[in-house]
Parts: sequence; structure tokens; C-alpha cells
Amino acid sequence: MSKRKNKVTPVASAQKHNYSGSLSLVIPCYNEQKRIGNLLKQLKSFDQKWQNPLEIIIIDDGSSDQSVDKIKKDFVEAFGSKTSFQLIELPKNQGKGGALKAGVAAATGDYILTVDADMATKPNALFKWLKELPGKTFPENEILIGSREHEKSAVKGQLLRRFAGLIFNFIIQLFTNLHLSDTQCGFKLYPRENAKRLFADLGTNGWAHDVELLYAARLQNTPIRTMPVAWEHQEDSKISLFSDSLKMFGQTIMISTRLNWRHFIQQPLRDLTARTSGGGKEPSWYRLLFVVLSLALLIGMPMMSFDYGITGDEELQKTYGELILKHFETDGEYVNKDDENALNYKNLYYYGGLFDYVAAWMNEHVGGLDPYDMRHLLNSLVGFLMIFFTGLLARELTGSWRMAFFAILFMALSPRIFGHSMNNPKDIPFAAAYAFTLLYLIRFIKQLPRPGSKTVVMLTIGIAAAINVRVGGILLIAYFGLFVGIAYLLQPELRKLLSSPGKVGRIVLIGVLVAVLGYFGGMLCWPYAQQAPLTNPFKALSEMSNFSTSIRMLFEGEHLWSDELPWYYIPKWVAISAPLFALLGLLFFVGFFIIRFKKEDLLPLAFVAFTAIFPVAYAIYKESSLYDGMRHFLFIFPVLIVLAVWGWDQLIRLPKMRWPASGVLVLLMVLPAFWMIKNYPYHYIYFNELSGGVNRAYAYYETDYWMNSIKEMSDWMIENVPAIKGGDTIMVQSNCYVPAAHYLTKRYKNARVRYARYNDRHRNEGDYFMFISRFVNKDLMKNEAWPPGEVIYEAKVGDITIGAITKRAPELYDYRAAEAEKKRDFAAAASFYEQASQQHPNNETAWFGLANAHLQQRNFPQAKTAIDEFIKLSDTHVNGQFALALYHYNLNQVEEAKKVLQRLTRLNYKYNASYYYLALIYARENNTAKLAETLEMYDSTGGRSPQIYDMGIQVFAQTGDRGKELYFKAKKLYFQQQYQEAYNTIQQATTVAPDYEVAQKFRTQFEEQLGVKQK
Amino acid sequence: MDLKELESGVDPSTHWYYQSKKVPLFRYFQRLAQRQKKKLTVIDFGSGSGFFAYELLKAFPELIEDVLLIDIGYTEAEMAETKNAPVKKLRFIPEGINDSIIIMMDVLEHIEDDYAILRDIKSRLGYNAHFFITVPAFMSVWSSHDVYLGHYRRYTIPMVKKLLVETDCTIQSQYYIYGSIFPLVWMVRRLKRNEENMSNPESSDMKPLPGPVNFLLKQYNSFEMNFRKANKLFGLTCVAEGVLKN
Repeated sequence: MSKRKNKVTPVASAQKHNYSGSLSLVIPCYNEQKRIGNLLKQLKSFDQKWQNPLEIIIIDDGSSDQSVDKIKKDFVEAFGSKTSFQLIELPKNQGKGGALKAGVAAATGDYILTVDADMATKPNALFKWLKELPGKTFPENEILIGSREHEKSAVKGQLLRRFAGLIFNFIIQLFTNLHLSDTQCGFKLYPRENAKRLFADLGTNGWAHDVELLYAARLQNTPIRTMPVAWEHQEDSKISLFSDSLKMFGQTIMISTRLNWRHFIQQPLRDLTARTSGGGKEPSWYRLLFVVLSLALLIGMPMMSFDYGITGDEELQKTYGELILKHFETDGEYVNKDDENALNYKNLYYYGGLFDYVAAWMNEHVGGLDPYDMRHLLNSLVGFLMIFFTGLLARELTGSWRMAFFAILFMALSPRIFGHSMNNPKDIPFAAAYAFTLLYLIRFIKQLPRPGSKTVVMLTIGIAAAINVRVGGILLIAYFGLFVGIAYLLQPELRKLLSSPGKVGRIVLIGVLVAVLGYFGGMLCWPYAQQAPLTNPFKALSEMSNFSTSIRMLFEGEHLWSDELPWYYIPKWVAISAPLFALLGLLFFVGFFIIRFKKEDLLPLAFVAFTAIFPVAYAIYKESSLYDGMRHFLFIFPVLIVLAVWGWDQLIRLPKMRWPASGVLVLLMVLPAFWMIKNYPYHYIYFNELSGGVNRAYAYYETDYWMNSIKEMSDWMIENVPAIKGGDTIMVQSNCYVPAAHYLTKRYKNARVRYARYNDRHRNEGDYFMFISRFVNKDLMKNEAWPPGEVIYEAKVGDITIGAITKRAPELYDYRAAEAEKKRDFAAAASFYEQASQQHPNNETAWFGLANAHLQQRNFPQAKTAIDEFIKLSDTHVNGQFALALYHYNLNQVEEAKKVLQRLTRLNYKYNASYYYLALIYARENNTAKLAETLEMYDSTGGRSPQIYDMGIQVFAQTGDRGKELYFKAKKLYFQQQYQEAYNTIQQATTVAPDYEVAQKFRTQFEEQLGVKQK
Repeated sequence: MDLKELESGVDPSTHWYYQSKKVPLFRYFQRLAQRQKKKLTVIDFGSGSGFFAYELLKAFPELIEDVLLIDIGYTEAEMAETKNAPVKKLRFIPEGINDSIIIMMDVLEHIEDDYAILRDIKSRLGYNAHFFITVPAFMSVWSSHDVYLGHYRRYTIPMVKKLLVETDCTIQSQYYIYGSIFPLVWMVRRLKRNEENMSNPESSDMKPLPGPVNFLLKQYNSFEMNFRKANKLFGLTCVAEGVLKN
């Protein structure tokens, strides 16, 4: 026996309350003959103190001992005139729930108190309740339940039993969302009408009937208040801890299923049939709509997932998952033939591998599907969860199933979200974990100062899942601390608790537990983090914050590198790719939020809004390298949708706005819905109507950047190129090797695929080109030089071509020209390029090759003609501009050459050759300042010419910059392969100029290559 | 493996406990055999039904030379029947077998003098003998389950280490498994540890479970095996891997 609190709360004076109504005590009784004496004693004590009409109903639940006889003998005469006594005898044992049901049905009091016959809590406790309740009377339409976990309760009992009770309570919370710390205490007070209604519907006769009653009450929005009790464990308890716990577990699942079915399906259907709203504030059929739409998505999304193609990084992700699987299976010893493992693979080892590991595991242990189909199936399920959690988040913030329904509808009608849900293995799992965590974070804050155990566990799991996908999930721990802190500071009821060290300490302890378990749980599928749990996640965070990968992309009609984007890159992508209903909803949100913030408690909404704004603001501040539209920021989308739904709801609530606003909303939802049907399965290429749609985005923004159209094109080829099924070998060149090889070669070995850069496509033999439009110059796209050559199939979205298959002319003039070029036979090359350009005048590679061949032969007029033809196709293509620069340079037209080269550096600041020639020009002009600047750019963009580095040595010697002089000398030696001297020199450079970061970085890389440890 | 555990209808080929417990054995065996670059003889000591040995043979036939099931409960008929079979049933380990791995899956706790039996096994085996041992862990979870199965003791890592060191074995690694479910099992067994249960145990804790529950437990515990070598703190089972005889 253990004693939690030895100070038992004294019974309050019977007189000090204002309740004047009648009361029924309902007491189930089964084989209680040993306890009848004590029961009678306690009831008499209560009867003496209770001044109002009292009814005592004892229900004998088919006792096989002498209980009934004793009750009949002792009870009838025991009570005063204001008290009526009734014994109900059930012919056979039904269980506590069944007994109570019979008792409540017979009860007539204004309030009904259920009490256990063992008197673990005595009826006199009711006086204490009355003393503490507002107005010293029982509240209307509110259920009061005794809770052994209430901070003022005095409990005597077995510690282990209490622990078991807590676990059972967690299970109840898990299945029912009942945020009650103790449902099983038998001491409960119901207003009569509530009791009659709840017990009439009671379907559970066993011990878990409490769960059903309380969950039903919660679903009916009946308030439940927990009250303190003095509770003492009674020996000879009728509850068997194990068998009854197991039964209760099963019954809880059944209850949850039955009541949810009734609440979400039956009742709304009944209300629909009866054309009533269900009596609540909002029509009950929104619940039904939420369930129906969720189920439709749960079934439909996995079915559709097989139609979506392999995405750009998916092969790497798949391999990473397989490496993690091997890593675990071999206790970290696995290394593949390329010396790769889960600890060094590309830069993916910086990412948690939750999704990829699970996908690899499924492929390994379940199988039965193409590995990428399996990944897409799982991806779609995670995508569904993201949408579902978004709905629950909306419900959590507003308490409305209507909002939840519209949130999932908005998500499902956001084409980019829907499209990415099918085959984006990194951003969608992270977004799902993010939405899940926010859901429980908001619930945690709403449940303060005593968050439920389920909330705490789920919050921890959410944080862990997010970190297991992306280290950025650590941010959620920071949000958690920040929001809880702000809630305590801003909410008066919580603020006053700050003076209580015990209560603050408790919440701090829970917070630390969540943070620590979430953090370490975040490494379960992340081998790199497991190697050094306290440092490696932060190394990964640092690397991800300063993401060094730079990718060329099309943004606002300019080809830009991902590290030179304007600050508004992400906001712009949100503006052009979110459906209009979402954008308008966000506008309404901002307006109504500002108006209502001071009048209403919108703190949770503000927290959620912060989680969307902060990451974007931080990326802008950090000038992060971004690419692929806004896919890295998809995780803010669920939040934006929730805010948009709230914004629309506020508008529709305004007088006279309901129908006009609803009409506009429906119209705005129809637009993307039609677009999604028409452009299936290219949803991730959606541009909203405000931006001009996908047609306007052509040659202005990236479209099929993730190679989805390769699947469609491959399928078309298999069906329409007879050679494939006929077994003849064909060669397809593609700038999307992995998906093309998977969809073609894996099915037909004779359909071979070779990787080709778009600009170098002519350099290899082959029968077909299969290209997507990514990395194609925008002018070529506008001037119909894309798709190249004889087009036999186009993958289209709207009116634009996102991918194309072209058949190469059998003469292969351009290939033969490239071969002649290799042999430096420029006359032959020129001749072949000439023929290629005549065959396809829009073939820019032929014009460029022709210009180059003539320049090599110093046939300048012919070269100029070819360059002009090229520039007609594209004035911004670096190849054409470079050929023009060389033309001027060779003719000694230095100013013209300089202008073109300078323009080239603006078109592509990493175009290294332009700095080479500019350096030569500035050297001739003795323009030391410009030369120094150009040399540094040459170096930073990957220059390798010792001649140019030699120039740098001289220039920086002249300017007296010893550090740079030594650095350039080291680089020159390095490219001359004089490594020892190069290393000695870079050591000198870093000693002379310790702040020269470029030199330091080179030295570090050099040492890594040499395996030298820096002292 | 204790045949009494199967009396309640547990099917080891599906039950989560056996399916997850074979994970560390498989991983150790596979690595060992691959490093040795030769086939090994698997000796399942106290084998009972021989479940783990059969599972090994099914998974890695190319790495296994021979399988010997050793159990004093085998009848003459059983032994005669398997005399020329790939899996032989014997009462005692034949002397002088080289290149072997002896697996003792929950066996030592049934033997009063575990030191003596280990010395005896060692004396019989030839060179290059390895071991994989599992034993139930922590006396604090001693319950009617142990009484029913006839256990003499439950172990801790230091106890197993002492046993192996004193019998001149080389330990390569030791760890606990089923660590995350340990607190729950500890609580349940403490609650069940009453006089009635302990004096007259009716069954082991091993019970068949509904399919979905069994599946979840199997996957959960199998996943936990990924981190088993880091668990030196607590668990339901203590595992030791190493060299019995060079």
C-alpha cells in the first residue's frame, strides 16, 4: 500500500451551499454482502447532512450472495422521511454499466450521483464540491466527475495500480481524444436530462461504460468538469487488473468506433434526412463531409499515385533508403562498391531517412510492386496524412468541423500540393510531420497547465518524425518553447501560475522531456546523427542553412543561379502557384486578424501564422539557396491553407456576405478543380489564374523541373515505336537519364538510354531525343527552336510543351560534325554543321558548331553569319554570345568583345570562359583594378588556367596584396600538378592573410584531398 | 528454445517474439560467416524444436556446412531418423567439430550449473568455435513465467560476462534486447507476482496474439534491434556474441 497524500480533505459543512433541488444516488451492487454495513453507514451519514429531497437507488446486479437480503433487511427503515429508497433487482449480472443504466432510468432527482458500493469515495464528498463550485450550486448542463488525478484529490491506493490506471487512461485518450486524467472513478454527478440521454444510449455494460458516457458527452459538446475526491482503495475490489484491463482496452476501441460512427456518419445522415442541423451551432453534416472527403482521398490518392513519374532526386533518395537499411542490417558495416554508405552518401546523409528507410524496407520485405511505384504509394499515403492533419489543425484552432472540411478541400484543390503528395519523398513527409506537430503543439497550449498524456506523446512523436525527415524539424522544438513561454506570459490564468514553482517546474519538466525525446527520437532513422547525437544534427543544420548547392533555373524570365535569386523568390512562388481561393483567404485572414486580435483570443492562430512566416523570413534574411519552385517550403502550405480557411469563414460570417462570398469561393474552387482534371497528372506544374496560368509561365518560370513527363513519354514510345517491342536496339538520349532508363530499358533491354546535356545533344549517336524543357534557353522556347528537330511526341500541360520526343535525322549531320570537331577537322565539321542547319534551321547547336568551326578556320564572315542565325533564335543563350565575343576578339575588336563578354557575365555570372577573355583584355589595357576583380571571379567560378593564375600573381604583387598573390601562386602550382609546392604556398598564404576566406577554404579542401590534418 | 512456451499455441514462425529475436542472430551469423569466408556448422544447443537453427538454414543455406540440434530430450527414433538428414538431432555435441557457431537461445537459465555446461561444450568443440547466447535478463522481472518454465535465474550483462570470462571465452559484444518494452513488462510482472501465481504457475507469458497486434509488435521490436548494440542498460533478454574457442 502506498499513500500519495495522507491529508484527506475534510468534509465541508453540510449547510454552506445554495443547491435546493433534489438528488438521486444511484449505486450498483454486485456480491457486496461484506460491504453492506459500511455502505449503509455512509449513506445514513450523508442522509443526515443532506437537507434537500434525496432518492437512493440500489441496483442489485444479479448478486449470488446475501446482498439483496441484507439490503432489504437493513435499508428500508434506515432513512428519514425526505429520503426515498428503491432497490432494483436485476435477474442476472449485467455489469456495472448495465446496472447503472437501470438505476438512472428509474431516477427522478434533478441531479443524479453515481457512486460505487465500496464507498471508495463517500457521498459526503458532494458537500466539498458544492463549496467549491461557482455559486455553491451544481452547474446546469455540466457533468462533474471525480478524478483521482486532480491536484486536490487525496488518494490512498497501490502505486502500481495507479500506474496501470495512467496507462489505461493514456489508451483511452489515444482512442477517444478525451482529455481527462481519470475516467474510471465511479463518483460522477449528472444533470438529470444529460444522464437520461447518455445512459439511454449506453451500449457498454462493462467497466468501460464510463469511457462511453464521457466520450458521448464530449461528442455532444457537454462540458465535463473534473473535481477532487477523497478516494481510498478497497480490498476485495471487483476489478481484476489484468483481465478487466484487457477487456476495457478492447471495449474502448469498440466504444470509440461505435461513437465515432454515430457522431460522424449516423447522426449527420439522420439530420440530413430530417433536414435538421443537429441542434449545434453548425450543421452536423460537415462532419460527414469531412469523413467522406478524407476517405475519398485515402482511397483515391494511392490509386492515382501509380500515374505519377519518377522525380529528379528520387533515385538518390531510393539509394539512400537502401543504404540506411543495409546500415542497420550490418550494424553500420555496409559499404557499397562505390565506397558509399549511409554515413557519406552524397549530401543526403545530412537528412533523416524516415521515409526512404520505410520505403526501402517495404520494397525489401513486402515487395510486389515496382520499387518506385511502392515509393509513390507510400508518398501518397503520407500526402494524405498531411492533408488530413491540416483538417484536424483547422478543427483544433476553431473547434469547427466545417473549417476542417474546407481545410482538406482547399488542400486537395491546391494542385501543387496534391501533385507533390504523389512523388515528393522529402518535402511532403516533412510537411506532414510539421502539420502533425503543430496540431499537437496547439492542443498542448490549449490544455495548459495540464496537457494530456496523449498530447505530450504525440507532440514528441511529431517532432521526432520531422527531424527524421529534415534536420529543420529542430525548429519545432524552438517553436514549442517559444509558444509555451508566450502563452504563460500573455494568458492571465497561466500567468498567475508562474508564482508557483511546483507548477512551473512541472511544465518545464514536461517541456524538457518532449524536447529531449523528440530530439533523440529524431535520429532513429538517421545514421549520421546517431554517430554523434549531440553534434552531427547541428552540423547538418549548419550545412542546410548555408546550402551550397547552386542550380540554374528560370525565374521571371531570367536564367538565374539559385544563389542569386531576388529576396521575394518564395513569396512570389506562393503568389503564382497557390490557388486564388487560398490567396484571397490569406488576405481576408490578415484583415480580420488585425481587426479581431484584441477582441478575441487568437493567440493559437497567431502561433500558427508565425510558423509559416518565420521560415520564409529566415530564408530571406539568410539569402538561402533556393530552387525548384517553392517545394522546399511546401511545409508552410498546410498552415497557409488553415489561415485562408479562417479568413474565408470570417468573411462569410459577415452580414449579407454569406451568399456572395460563398459564390465567389465556389467559383474559385472550380477553377483549379477543372485544371487538375484536365492536366492530370501534372498537378505540380500549376500556376494560378492571376499569374496567367501555365501558358504564361512558359519560358518564364520552371515548369516540369522534376521530370514527371518522362513517364508519359516513355509509355508513348513503347506503344508507338515498333522497334522497341520488336526487339530492335534503339538509342534514346535524354537529359533525364534515371527515369527514362527505368521506364524504357528496365522494360525493354533493347531500348537503351544515354544521358545527354541539352546543349550537347548532338555529340552522340542515337535515334531519339527525349528531353524536358528544363535547362532549355527561354528564347529557344519562345522562338520555336524547342522542341528540337522532328518532333514525334509532345507532353503538354495547357498549351505548352513540357517534354518532347524527337526523331533524329538518319544522316546524323550534327553528330558527324561533332566527331570531325574532335579530330580538329574544322572544314569537315563546318560542312556537316552546314548540312545540319539546313536540315533543321532551328537547330541552335548546329549554328553554334558552324560558327565555332569557321572561327577556328578564321573564316570570319561565315562565322558571323552563323552567329547571327544563332542570335536570331536566342539573344540570351551563352553559347551564341560567347561565339560573338570570340568573333570580335579574334578580329581585335576589343571594345565590342568586352561589351559582349560583360553581358555574358550578367547572363550567367558563372560562365567562366567570359572571365578568361575579359582578363586577357584588361591585362592588355593595364586596367589593374578590373583585372584583379575579373581574376577573382575567374577563380571563384572554377577557372583552371595556369596562364590566368600567373596573371593574378603579377597583379596582386603589383597591388601589394601578398595573401592573394600567394593564393594565386598556390592555385597555379596546383593546376600544374605541383602539389607539394602548392600546399606549402597555400600554407604561407593563410599565414600571411589569415582572414582571407577563399584561401582558407582552398587549404581545407586541399588538406582533405591530401589527408593532411590541419594543425 | 523452450517447448513449454509453445504449449499455449504460439507459432514461432509468426509470433513476434521469435521473429524479432532471430534478427540479431541472423545479423551476427551472416557477418561472421562472410568474414570467415567459409561455411560454418551450426550447433543449436538445447534446441527443442530447433526453430532458430532451421530458420538460419532457410535464410543462409550457402553459408552453412551442417546443422546439429542438441537436446537431451530427443528419442533414439528421432536421432536415427535424422542420421543422414541435413539437420541432425543429437543428445550430445560430437567431439572435434571445427568452424562452428553454437547458439544457445534461452538455454543457460534452465541449467543449474551453467559454468560447468559451458566448460563441457568448450571441451568438446574443435577450433574456430563461436557462440551466440541469449538469456532472460533481470531478476526484477522474475515472475510466474520463469517459475513455469523452470528457470534457475535471470541474468545481467555483468553476470554473463563473468560466466564467459571465467570459462575463457572471448566476448565480442554484449547487449540487451527488448529494452523499450521492458518497463511495461516489469510493471505487469510485478503486479502478477503474488503468492498464488508464483507457487502454482499455470502458463508462460507467451500467448498467441491477434494478427495486427502481432504484426505491429514484430515490426516494432525488429526495428528496435537496429539499435541493440547501444543498449547496455536494460531489456528483457541479454545477448552475448563472441569466440568460444580460437
